[in-house]
Amino acid sequence: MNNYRLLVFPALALCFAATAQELPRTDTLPPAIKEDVRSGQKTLSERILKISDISAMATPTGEADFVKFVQTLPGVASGSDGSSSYYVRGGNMGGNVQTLDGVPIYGTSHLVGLTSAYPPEVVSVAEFQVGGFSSEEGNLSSSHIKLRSKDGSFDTFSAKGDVSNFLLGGYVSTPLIENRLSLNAAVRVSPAGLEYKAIKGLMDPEAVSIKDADAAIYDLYAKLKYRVDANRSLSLTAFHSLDKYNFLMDSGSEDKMTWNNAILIAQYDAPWRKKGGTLGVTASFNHYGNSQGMIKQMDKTSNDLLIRSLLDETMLHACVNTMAGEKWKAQYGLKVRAARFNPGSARVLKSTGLFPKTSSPLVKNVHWNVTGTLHGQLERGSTERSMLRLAGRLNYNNASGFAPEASVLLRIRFFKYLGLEATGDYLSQFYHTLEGIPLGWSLDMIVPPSKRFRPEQTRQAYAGLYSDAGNHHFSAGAYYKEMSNLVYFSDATKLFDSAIAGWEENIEVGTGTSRGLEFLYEKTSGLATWRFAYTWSKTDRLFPNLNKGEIFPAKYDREHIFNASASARVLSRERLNVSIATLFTYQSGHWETVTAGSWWDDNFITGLVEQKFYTSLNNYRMPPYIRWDISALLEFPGRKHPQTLNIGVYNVLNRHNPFALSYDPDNDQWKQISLLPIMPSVKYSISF
Amino acid sequence: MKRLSLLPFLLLCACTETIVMDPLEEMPVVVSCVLSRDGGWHEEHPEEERDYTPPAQYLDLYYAQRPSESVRRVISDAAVQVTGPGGPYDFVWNGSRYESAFLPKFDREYKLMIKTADGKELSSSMVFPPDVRLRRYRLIEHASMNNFGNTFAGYYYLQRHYDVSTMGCQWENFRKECFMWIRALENGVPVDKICTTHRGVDNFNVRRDVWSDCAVIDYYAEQFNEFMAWENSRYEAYDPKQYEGMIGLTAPIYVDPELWTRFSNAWLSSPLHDKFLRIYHQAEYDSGLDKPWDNYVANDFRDNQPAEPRDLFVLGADFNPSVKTYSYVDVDTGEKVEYEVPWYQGDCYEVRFMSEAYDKYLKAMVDAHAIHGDELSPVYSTKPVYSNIDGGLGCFGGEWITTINISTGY
Repeated sequence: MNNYRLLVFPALALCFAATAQELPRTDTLPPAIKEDVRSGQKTLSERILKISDISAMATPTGEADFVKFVQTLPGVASGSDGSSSYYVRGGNMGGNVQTLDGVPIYGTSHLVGLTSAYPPEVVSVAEFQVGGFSSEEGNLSSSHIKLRSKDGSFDTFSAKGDVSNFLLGGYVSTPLIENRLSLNAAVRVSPAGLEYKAIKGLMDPEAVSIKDADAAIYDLYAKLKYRVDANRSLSLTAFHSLDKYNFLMDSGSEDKMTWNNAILIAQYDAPWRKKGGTLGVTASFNHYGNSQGMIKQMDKTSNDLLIRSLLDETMLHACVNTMAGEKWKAQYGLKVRAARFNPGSARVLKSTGLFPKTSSPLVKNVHWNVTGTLHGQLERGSTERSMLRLAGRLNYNNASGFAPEASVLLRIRFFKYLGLEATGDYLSQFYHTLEGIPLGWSLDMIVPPSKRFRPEQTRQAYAGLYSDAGNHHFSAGAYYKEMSNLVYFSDATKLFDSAIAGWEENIEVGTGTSRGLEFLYEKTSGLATWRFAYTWSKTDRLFPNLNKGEIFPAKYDREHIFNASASARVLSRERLNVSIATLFTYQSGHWETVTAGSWWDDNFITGLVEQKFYTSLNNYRMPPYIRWDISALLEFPGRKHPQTLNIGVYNVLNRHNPFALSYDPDNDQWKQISLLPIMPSVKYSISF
Repeated sequence: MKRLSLLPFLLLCACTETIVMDPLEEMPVVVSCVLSRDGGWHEEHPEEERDYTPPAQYLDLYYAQRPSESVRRVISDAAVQVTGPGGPYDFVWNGSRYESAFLPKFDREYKLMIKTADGKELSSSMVFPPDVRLRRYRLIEHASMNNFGNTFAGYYYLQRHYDVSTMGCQWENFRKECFMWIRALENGVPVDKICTTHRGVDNFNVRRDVWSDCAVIDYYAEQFNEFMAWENSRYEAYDPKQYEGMIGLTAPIYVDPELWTRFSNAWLSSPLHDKFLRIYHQAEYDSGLDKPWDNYVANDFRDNQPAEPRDLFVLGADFNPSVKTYSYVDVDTGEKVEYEVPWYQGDCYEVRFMSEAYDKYLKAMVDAHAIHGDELSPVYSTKPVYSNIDGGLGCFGGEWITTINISTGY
């Protein structure tokens, strides 16, 4: 590491010193965003994610992103640089679930994984759970980002537009029938394709093999809410996102990759009997697809090969929240989920030739998977005081049979400033994600459970102390986690080629453990917000058919993770407010499997071929990941149309953080590949 | 499609820097030994009646190379011995590799012991493949004639047959798993396209085109369809006189017109494979040999899948014969007349039955070949190379090679 990078420490100290000034702070969130936002629950097991937390962060794309904030919390290890991949308490990336009104968003990312597929502006409440899960959702094994969509306003019209490095956004909230029917809608479109064409002339044509490229990236969101009466409401939510990239290669062939979500949710809310109980009935349809394709000219025939992975999920959920006696809150319900998996299907479209145009299925991998879940939960107390939550789920899955789940969350406040928090979970997840490149993009195949690939299971426990003293919050605890039926996609180098072959042949099933210590200190005041999070953890994997059956570290087993962030209002005037924010992160390097040597074999199929060997899996820890971001938020209130300007610099140090290693035999050197250099970002928004 | 993974680098101004890594002090020893019995005789003769010279068996022994090493360090002073039926067999250094001569027995275990001069001990064991082989094949002849009325052919309908008994059937014994690697050669050169619809075929080397992409199919499609539409009868499927009680697996392609149309379309859209086929025939194979074939066709159609005959149907390369010019003197006019005819020297199919270890090893080799030169391969989850050598690397395997030569030349 070059010495100049050590400057991060004095620079960080200066940054913190600057933000520690005693300055007044006012709530600058517009009313629509404040709606439904509860006070943040500062526990290590579940936490409310606030718009104000994420909007000030510097990101590679300039877009506010819940996932980028989650990556700074204790127990969370980031994947590759700048991406949306994250690993919670040693789990796999596929064990994390993001839901919108209870419906999973499987294709969570935009822009090859750099940001989330949904705009945070449409979210009223976002909650991050890592333990002591509530009962109503489930089908996860690691963590849950629970998003509740925002209703449109029933009495006033408002709109907003914004532009950032890679996305243009427009948002509207309006009554359609005053006090009866409202609409909240959003659209974001990326001009990345146009931006590529603009900078294409600056690129060295010899350096890249892409002749031309194009991209279509957008997301659409709309929610209609109808108030039947004071207590009953009906809502219809639609969400669609698309990422589509085309590359015309010098060879004349065309490569394509696509992923998309299409979600439709109908929800009915009504009172349930007495004592203020509520009934929520949700019906949803969720389509998720990803694909890679190629067009090749062969024998005067245009062959369009498309290999794709599809998941169509229909869900019906009825959930009751009521009181059970004077002090216990009860929740129970029934959920039925029918999913049609079609991972790795392939087809060929032929447009010319003697034979008529055909669409030929090369491979179809349709699997129907139905899960019925009875769930129930009892809760007493509140997070601010002592609290006990007992949650259970009984699942029946047609491929794997019965699977019970249970979670418990206990918070006991011993003294005024000190309490104990403990959670325990026994979880099952009824699908597997075959993880390829850890970019957090949505090209990984999702496959159903089967008798051979049983549902992934997690058993975890956490215990720790917490303290709330005024604006200071401190948590410290330890967790232990066991995972079974984990899948390891052992041939990810050919993720989509293997899709043709049948992914089942390339999957290994094994177990994993993770243990760690987590610390969190936060100070939130009207002047400044500080947060320090540290995690020590050790995560490993054991697969009988890998690594000679011996334990090896998980790829993103980052032993030490330290995140320090601060934000402060540094200027407050009638027509201008200025806030600055900074984030410093240090994470132990991830593990790579580095070849120790090779030999050459001559066989009748391939001829002479080099075979690399490894002393063990994940045998080399990469250099640490260090990054410093700064951003400034300029607000222009008091105008007819309030505006904001967010300027950020991601990776101020321009540190070449490690992504992968490769050996260059020509120069007899190992080389480290990095992804993101220093990245300026800007986002401008205007409200109407 | 691996190129797509480069996208982030292209878009995001990737950068690289050199780092320092210490190589291992000592590299492991690599063993490469595949016992072989190369079939050159007719399977009809019992093994004890065959006259052959024990084939030479070879073993390579060397150190793996560090990333910076370019020369293989061969080990020439080791003691190498294989034990098994009729053994032990000592391997002797012949100046470039270790050599011995013996014929491995079917379905029997062999053990390898190696001791190097510096005291390293390596060992392995494997079971030689069972006595399964391609018993017979059927040649599909197109109804095309040359100027002399001779037929020529370009497609071969191969049927694998488990020959576990020279007389009669023993169904239980048929249910043996085996690993087959099939490679088609045209004039000694591996062909690019090879096809089967056998359900046990491994598709990892599937090409991005389908059977109807073969240029010759365009030309002969009509004739081919006519041939395939020919109503086979069950008598052909079971011919006790010809096959000594063995049930032939000829597909009884009697189908109604609608079924046949679907079959044709499915067949033409079957994927082609790149140069070779690998077939894993599992012992517990659902679609075994003891059920009526047409049931499977019906089931496949019902499931909207391409029909999958149990027979091994192998299609060689594009029908691309060379042309040779001949001449004759017209007896009436005395003029020399030149004419052109297609020229076929003959095609060859290698069918290799593998020991399980060699099958895995070879598949790993194909995988390694597929990602060779891909700098991003460490980014993905990595699969360590298969090895069945205790104390070292490499493979100790066995293969039983059947070769089918089809000569259609003039």
